[in-house]
Amino acid sequence: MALPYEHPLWRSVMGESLHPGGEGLSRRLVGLCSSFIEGDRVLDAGCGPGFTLGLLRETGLDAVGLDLSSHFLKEAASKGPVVRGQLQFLPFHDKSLDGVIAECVLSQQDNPGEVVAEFARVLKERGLLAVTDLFDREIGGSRKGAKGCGRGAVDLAGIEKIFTEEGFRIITFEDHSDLLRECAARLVWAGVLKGGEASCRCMGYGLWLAKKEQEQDSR
Amino acid sequence: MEKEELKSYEQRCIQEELPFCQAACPLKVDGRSFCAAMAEGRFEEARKVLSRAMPLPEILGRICDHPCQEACVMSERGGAVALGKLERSCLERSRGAGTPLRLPLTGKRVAVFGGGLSSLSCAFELLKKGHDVFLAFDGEIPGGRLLSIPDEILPKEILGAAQQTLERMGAKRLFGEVPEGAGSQNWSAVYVGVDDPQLADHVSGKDIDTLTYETPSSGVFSGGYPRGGRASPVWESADGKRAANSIDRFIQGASLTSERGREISVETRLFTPLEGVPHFPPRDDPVEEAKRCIRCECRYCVRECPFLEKYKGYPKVYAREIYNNFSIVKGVHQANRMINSCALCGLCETLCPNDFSMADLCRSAREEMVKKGIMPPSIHEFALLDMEHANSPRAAGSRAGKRRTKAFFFPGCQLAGTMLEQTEKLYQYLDGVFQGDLGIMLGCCGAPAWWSGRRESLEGLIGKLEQVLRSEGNPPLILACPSCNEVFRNYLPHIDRISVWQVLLDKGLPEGRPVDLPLALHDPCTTRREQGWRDSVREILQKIGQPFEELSFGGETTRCCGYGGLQYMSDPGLAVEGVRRRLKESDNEFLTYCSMCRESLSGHGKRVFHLLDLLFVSSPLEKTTGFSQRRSNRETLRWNLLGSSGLPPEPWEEQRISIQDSVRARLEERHILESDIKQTLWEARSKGRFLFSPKGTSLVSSRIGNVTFWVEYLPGDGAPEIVNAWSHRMTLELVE
Amino acid sequence: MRNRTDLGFVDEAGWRCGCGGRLVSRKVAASYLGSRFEVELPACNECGFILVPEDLAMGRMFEVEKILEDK
Repeated sequence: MALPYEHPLWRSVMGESLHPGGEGLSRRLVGLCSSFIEGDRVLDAGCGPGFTLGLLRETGLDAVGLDLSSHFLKEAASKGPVVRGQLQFLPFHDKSLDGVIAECVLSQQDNPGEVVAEFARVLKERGLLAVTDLFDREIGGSRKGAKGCGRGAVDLAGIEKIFTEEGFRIITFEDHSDLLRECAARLVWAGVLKGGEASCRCMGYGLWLAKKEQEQDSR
Repeated sequence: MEKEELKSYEQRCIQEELPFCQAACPLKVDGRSFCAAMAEGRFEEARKVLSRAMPLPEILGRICDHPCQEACVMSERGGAVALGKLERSCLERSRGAGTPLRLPLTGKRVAVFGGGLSSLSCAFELLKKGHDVFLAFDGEIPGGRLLSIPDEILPKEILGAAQQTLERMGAKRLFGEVPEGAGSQNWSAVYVGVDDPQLADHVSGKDIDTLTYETPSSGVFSGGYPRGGRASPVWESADGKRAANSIDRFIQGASLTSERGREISVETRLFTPLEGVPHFPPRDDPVEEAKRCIRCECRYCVRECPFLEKYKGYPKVYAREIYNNFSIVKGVHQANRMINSCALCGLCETLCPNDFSMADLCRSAREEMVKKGIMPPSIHEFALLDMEHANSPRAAGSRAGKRRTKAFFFPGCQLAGTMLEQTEKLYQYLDGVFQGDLGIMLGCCGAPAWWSGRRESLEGLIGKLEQVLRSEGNPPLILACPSCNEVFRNYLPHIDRISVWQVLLDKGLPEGRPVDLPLALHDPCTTRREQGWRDSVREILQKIGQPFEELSFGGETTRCCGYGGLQYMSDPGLAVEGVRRRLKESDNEFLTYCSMCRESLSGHGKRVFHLLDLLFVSSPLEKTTGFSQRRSNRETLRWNLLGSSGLPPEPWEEQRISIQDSVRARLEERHILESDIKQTLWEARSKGRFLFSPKGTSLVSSRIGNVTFWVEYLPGDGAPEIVNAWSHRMTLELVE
Repeated sequence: MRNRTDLGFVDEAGWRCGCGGRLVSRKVAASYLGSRFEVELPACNECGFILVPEDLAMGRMFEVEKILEDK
């Protein structure tokens, strides 16, 4: 089944960033990553056409973009170094990166925990994980088998659990669900989604910054 | 909504309470899930259900004294479900899982004395928790009293196999006497199963703590004593399991008593309505017998309400969702639609054993939404504008009685709107009866404001009514509409209210015009708590000789017609579903005494009479009146009874227009009034803005309030014929 | 009225403006509750009267209004 953001009109509605909140939210996310210093190695996981990759490089970071779609990568290549790969098998050594940015990718996975575990593997200790993504408003809801966006979206407690289980500590959370509503309205307006199909209406959109904890002796 | 408020709502809803079988079982076996699996022939699954609660189900399942069966409500419908037999069948047709897993080993040594079921159960549970268990019993295989049970019921191999299971789990055999205290032989704890005949006298039943299974000796626990003078296998097993829990806590130094009430309590607050459950005697075949289980749950309210059914939950869940809705700071409030879709009719409260009121919950949630500014603006707007019109000078007003005002007649805006002729006749009749000392008040009681959570608006409106009443010395109100009655009961408590029906009975009925056919009597939902209203109506029907049929969901348990709570605005489909269900309840035509019920139920295939039709005018409306006609009726009534309001007519009112029935139906659905159309035509004409098409129609547009209307019409010499109309709320401008 | 997914409407009914002008496709901004959406609609090239076709008003406009109201 085609993913919603592969719809030919998606780009025209959502802009180059492809995700709710668009370029504005990407800028905010990058701006909040104040612990990075020039030259830090940062991965844009699921970089798409590369808007955020470009932003990161502009700020002086040694950023690289990763995506599975060669189509997107062709475009992103003009913004910075890119590599083709899967989120579940990141082509990086353990503890080799200072930061990972993941915009609206976890909710598209059937098993988001797996991907967060990979992020934990490639991040150095005290490395930063910056995420914006959908979350399920229904407490304890399950989106198994859901079509379209957000099949991997979990409720807030579920997300926190995934982060903590993989050794992250959440240092910031912001709720940007109003951007999602805007986004849903625009997609319906453009005819990309039908009103009833806009499952994003019952979801929220959040921003998280999480630090990889120093590893202790395992249990 | 405060957390305490949420809790108090939640605890009224008993849907999550245990089914009767499970509550009565000391081990809390989930009889409901067990029967569900058995009914589908999924025996391994059924066995798993047993294993979750029972230690060693292969033993207990064959000999259980099944208190679950005694509690089964199917005893009222042919016979309790034969759970004992079903468990046996399940064991015979399944193998069960292998040796259970153990938690990491604790290294703590526990001695379990006795070969009876309680000791075996205790040993099993302690082994699962990772403790080092030493089992002491006499003879080759354990069993105690169980060894004397005939083989057909409990084959000895089963007991032997159970011993092997325990050994595979790490149990060791112990020989010796029960020590004085646990510490004396370096045991972390000791269990003594007095269901083993050899140990029956070792501890007296009254020395065993019923909650913790402690005995006076330190570290020594005991269980398996008779219940009600008899040995009970299920209690023996339960004792062993619970004692193991106590021992585990004892070893960890944790409290033996905290949060253990649920383990033991046999009470459940669940209520299962049995209406409609057929009588069926027990069946022999286990799968067929399991199908007799009705999966006890409450959901009484959900079954009877299309709104509760639609959201696939039950009141406890809805209370939580509504609470969560308000804790969202920024973002989409998912529960908005649900909150606005309740008809506020009160049926759920009446059916619920604990009076859970979705009406109270939703109404106050709506008020909070309005206060917080998150109530969607369009959802109730049309109804509120209608209320405004009903209270505007053209439609509202009041007049005192001739010499004094013995009472005020308040017909209400919907009666005035839909039954103009009958309202006038009724007023004239009452005026005669009161010899002119009857006041009249025309207007809306404020129900739409109350239902939509606009408390301030309601209070303002009520304030004005209060003034008029006070100026005449607070005489009683004669009401024709039970919704007005409910509003005034809550917001004008110091004013006496009397139904027009009671007045007619007291002062003399006009000559009735009954219909030959029996009519199904629909009580409006707002008469749910007004026995007086319902009784007077029935008395009138009897007096005038009108045959009528009582509906099974009538009186206190009457259903809503879909108008209440403004449900027809927020979810018209749901309202129609309510109407459908109501009309299906009888083959007869219907009769009611609320004009909105009549309006709501009409037009769906049955004639719906209003009581006033049988008293004053005898031809019931075949069609509904419609929003536009209601407004003009109110203005006409005002004019007829109170004279001109003094306001000049709007410039577009005189414009005549012609509308075909099919088009009228569409306008009604889209909430487009004739006055909107006329105003649009007039404004377009004065501004000179219109479009025209080759087929001869013209198209005009105008912004009225928060809505832009579009009207397509065929101009002509006479009245323009309206072909189509639509509307939207968005505003537009050219981008240059 | 036929609608295409490029956010434009084609006027097939042949509406003409009462002022004498022709209806041509023009860029329009539709606003509600602080959000702005762009669409191309038939509008008069003389007086600027914008036509909102029934399909749009009762279809996507209505759906979007509902989404935006659910704050």
